[in-house]
Amino acid sequence: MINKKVYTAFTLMFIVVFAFAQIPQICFAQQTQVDQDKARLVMSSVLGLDLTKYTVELTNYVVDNPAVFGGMTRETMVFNLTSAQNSLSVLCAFVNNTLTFMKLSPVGGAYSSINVQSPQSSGSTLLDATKNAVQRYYSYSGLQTASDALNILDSVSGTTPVNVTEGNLKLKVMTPDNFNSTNISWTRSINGANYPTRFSLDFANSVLVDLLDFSSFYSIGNTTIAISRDQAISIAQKEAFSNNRLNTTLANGTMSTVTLELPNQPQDIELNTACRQPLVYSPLWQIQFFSSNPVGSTVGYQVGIWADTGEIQYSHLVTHFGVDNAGMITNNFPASTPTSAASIPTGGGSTETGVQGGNSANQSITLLIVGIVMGIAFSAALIFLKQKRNK
Amino acid sequence: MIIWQPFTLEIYAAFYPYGHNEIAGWYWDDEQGAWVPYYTLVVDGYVRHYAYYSYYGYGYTGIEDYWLSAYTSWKNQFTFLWTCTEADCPIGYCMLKDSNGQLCYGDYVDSYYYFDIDHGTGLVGMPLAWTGNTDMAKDGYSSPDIGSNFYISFCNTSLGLCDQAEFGTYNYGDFVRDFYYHALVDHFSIQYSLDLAMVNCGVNGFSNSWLYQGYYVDNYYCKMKVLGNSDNTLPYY
Repeated sequence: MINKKVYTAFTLMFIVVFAFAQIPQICFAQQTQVDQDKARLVMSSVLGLDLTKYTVELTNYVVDNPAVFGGMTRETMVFNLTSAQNSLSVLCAFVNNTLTFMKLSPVGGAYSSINVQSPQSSGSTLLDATKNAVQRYYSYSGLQTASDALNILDSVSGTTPVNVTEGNLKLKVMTPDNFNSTNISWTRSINGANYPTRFSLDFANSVLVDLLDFSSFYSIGNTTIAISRDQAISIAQKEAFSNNRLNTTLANGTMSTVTLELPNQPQDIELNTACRQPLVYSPLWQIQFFSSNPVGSTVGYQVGIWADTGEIQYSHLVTHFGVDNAGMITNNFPASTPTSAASIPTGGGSTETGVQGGNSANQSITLLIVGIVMGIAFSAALIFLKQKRNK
Repeated sequence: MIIWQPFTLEIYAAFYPYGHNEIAGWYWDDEQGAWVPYYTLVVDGYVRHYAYYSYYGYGYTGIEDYWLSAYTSWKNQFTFLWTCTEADCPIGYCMLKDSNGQLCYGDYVDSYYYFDIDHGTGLVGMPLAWTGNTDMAKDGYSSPDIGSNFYISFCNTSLGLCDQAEFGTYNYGDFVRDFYYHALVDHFSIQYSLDLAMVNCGVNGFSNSWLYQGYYVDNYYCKMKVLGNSDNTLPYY
């Protein structure tokens, strides 16, 4: 009698545990379908692809929480699109469900010969293609950044976008020399520093192949230039001439401590912007000294100084390789890249999920094991109680 | 030549900030079934052969292109070398030494390799020495071929892994680490991994980076050269 009840308990337990273990799988399938839908919307409404002409297959799906985005959830999906004419690969990345990056690339082919099944891709100049792409993106996102980008594009005449400034918004156009592509980005110039809007487009043969927009997440912090150029140089000189000694191995194999000769005046002084804390841009003086007499691979010294506070962001020797002298500048690495260690998009906080739901499968196995252990404990307790009652 | 033990991404990420990783060369070894880093030195000869630079940049005392292929067996499918000149393509006039030992211009070459017939010194160009592939796309990032090889390194001077000039709060060590993470753990294609690693460092994709656009060091045009097929995806490590 007891055995029969125990068997029944075990059976029921296994059924419950097995059903419980399926929950993540079901949730995963539903979730990836939702995610695929939003990526399909991007492909059709922003990239302008006619998805009825393609077979669309999700090939990779990864969820992580990179520190660079303040730990927000990023979903990255890769699709293969196959048509009778060609195959394309499309990457779509969303942060907190907002499109941040997408890229279209031909599979086994060159961008120079890219051919997409798209009603918008033919017969337009690059300027028209750019306006169309931004208009499509604005219709999709409704973001002010896209609206501003459209307005400045309207001030451009001719057939291709050119560098132009409207107010503090700058339209910047780059054409890499090695393939038929154009990069278009927008920055805001404030107090002599250029703050990226983090909105940019790439075209190949007038086809939109790449769109990046982090404008919803990044903001501009304190724009005050409290540290003048001369003050920044003075700080950099103090840093460089206090820390330009390094241990090195001479040609005869002996170790020696030497001083890297540096010019009094730095050769490179730029006011740029960077994120002192995630997603907030601040002005940064970036200063470099180059030695005319390098020590091995060590060729100079670079210093970064926040222009609003005077705080030193980084200060270290520069080599063509890595770091020449760990003893001298080891401590600079953690200090100079405060978000580095945490920025591994990886770390403990990330989750990788394959299209087969590998991670969910692992969770299921874990749940199954936990359930079995619980079941055994429960059954053991049941037997113990039964035996005790029989006594 | 020192061949380190197969390593894991965690070990790589742990050791890089503390130096001594300035020559970052890894390859996938089918026989060992593992990722193996190389750490090697340099040689020069009558012909300007390409070679590994030593840690401290002194001399040419190690590994040259023309005989490296004996060690690679021309089988490397993926090679990523973070050091100067390893992707130097002898595009332009190759440099020779005349009978007086003076540098002079040789034949005009538009490739990432050539064979020195005149002096019989053999193969010139590291990409061929590693891959054995004479037909890799010259811009494997934007116009990848459909082959199995991928090679990435620098023409002329490489930038330091500690260099922060492009990023402000990140450095190229961060970029390399994130590239490997996206390629090996997330299992994205090489091309997407390059893009995502740059995005992580605050740049709008690899095509917008200094590495891809090119930069000048001592008035020499330098850039990261990407050869072959960046659509490839790396095996799990």
